[in-house]
Amino acid sequence: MITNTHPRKKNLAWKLAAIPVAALVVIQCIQEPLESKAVTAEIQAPKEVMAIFERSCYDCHSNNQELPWYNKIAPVSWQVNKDITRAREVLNFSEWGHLSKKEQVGKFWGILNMVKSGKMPLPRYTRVHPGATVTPAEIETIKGYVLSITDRQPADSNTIKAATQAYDQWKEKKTTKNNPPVSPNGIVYSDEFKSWKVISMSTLYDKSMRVIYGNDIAVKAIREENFHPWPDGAIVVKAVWEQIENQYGEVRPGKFINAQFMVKDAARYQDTEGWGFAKFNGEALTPTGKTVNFATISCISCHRQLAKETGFLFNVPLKLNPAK
Amino acid sequence: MKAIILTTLSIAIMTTACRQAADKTHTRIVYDAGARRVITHAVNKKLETMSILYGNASAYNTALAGNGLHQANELYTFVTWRYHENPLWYGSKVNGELLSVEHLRIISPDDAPAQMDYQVESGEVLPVNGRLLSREERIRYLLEYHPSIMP
Repeated sequence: MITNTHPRKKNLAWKLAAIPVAALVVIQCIQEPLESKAVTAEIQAPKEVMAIFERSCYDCHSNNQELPWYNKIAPVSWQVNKDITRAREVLNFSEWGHLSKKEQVGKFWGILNMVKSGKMPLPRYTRVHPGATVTPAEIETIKGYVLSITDRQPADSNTIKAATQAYDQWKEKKTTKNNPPVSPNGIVYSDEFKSWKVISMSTLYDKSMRVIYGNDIAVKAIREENFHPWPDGAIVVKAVWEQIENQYGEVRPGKFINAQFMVKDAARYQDTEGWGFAKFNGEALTPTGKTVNFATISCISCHRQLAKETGFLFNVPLKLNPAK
Repeated sequence: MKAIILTTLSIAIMTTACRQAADKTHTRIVYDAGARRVITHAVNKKLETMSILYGNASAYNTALAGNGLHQANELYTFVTWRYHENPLWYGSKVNGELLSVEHLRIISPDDAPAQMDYQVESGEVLPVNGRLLSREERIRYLLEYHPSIMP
């Protein structure tokens, strides 16, 4: 079949087709290249674990990317660079050695929970890179390694002795908090939570135990399942201790570890899903964090990915009691 | 084909309905201990329970002193829960079902023996070290707890 296209129409079609091509060329000039960073303290782990990380995580969580060519073309590169920059902030296998041993174990538990729940690698990443999918067998490999590096033994005699001493000293101490500690994001430590209701209790890795308090707004939100979003003004405080076994085979609080605050203020904490985070460590209640936005790196990534169904809280009491 | 679609749709609707019904038949409990504050808490890994001991101000002060010198009207409440793996974070356990609530009031500590009122408000009291305690043993067990370090 022969079609006669008017020369002017043909010309217009070419012009229209050229616009996106020209735009694509132009936007290549306005992209910022991914920051090149050195591998300064590479993670050390068994080779079977490293193989999983290198295949499924390194493209974002390292300084050693092997990106296909199309990931370097704008606008794809904009999203890729943003994802990598964010991923490196949260977890960077190329700078792993700069973390303390305790932080490393904590990060490993984060990794295990992320892959176990299917939140990582990001589903939108594995759709394009199906080879990066972590299989159930590989999750078991990571789990086995995480359990092997976690100290889950009951407290030894030295820990028990130290806890007893800490208790005796605390009992005699008359503390006055004239200048309450302040987190870098402005959250002020307050004793008020001690008179609030307990919303839940929890343990972590058989090493620590927690009592979680909520103010009246938080308690009402839990009773009404009002999690999406939690009302402004809700405050939750988690007090954390080491575990010590008593003569009845029960685990009891030993040394005080920290008090963790979550304060709901949607307007003020927009980068962290409306929650302000603060952690006050040891009996001195020393605040965690060096910058105002420390929680965007250290707290919210796990809360956002794994606790969405309860409005980003991990320790809401389980819904298991018969309704009356 | 029509039959397959209808069956699939029916199953989907029924599943959703059942899930919603399940949501309505269970609830989360936040225990109201009134004016009593937390003295301490304990976890029993064999029984998979978590307990919390509350007390009024005089109960807290006596528990802190740890000298066994009780005052009239000390009030203690001991609440025990079943715990489970936290569905949101593998490696963590969190409380679920409320199992029992016990109350203890010191009436006249100077009498011999001291007069105390011990009541189980709800649930069944669980064994300690594999043995159910007598009333007197249970009271001694509750009064042995000392407060958690709380700066």
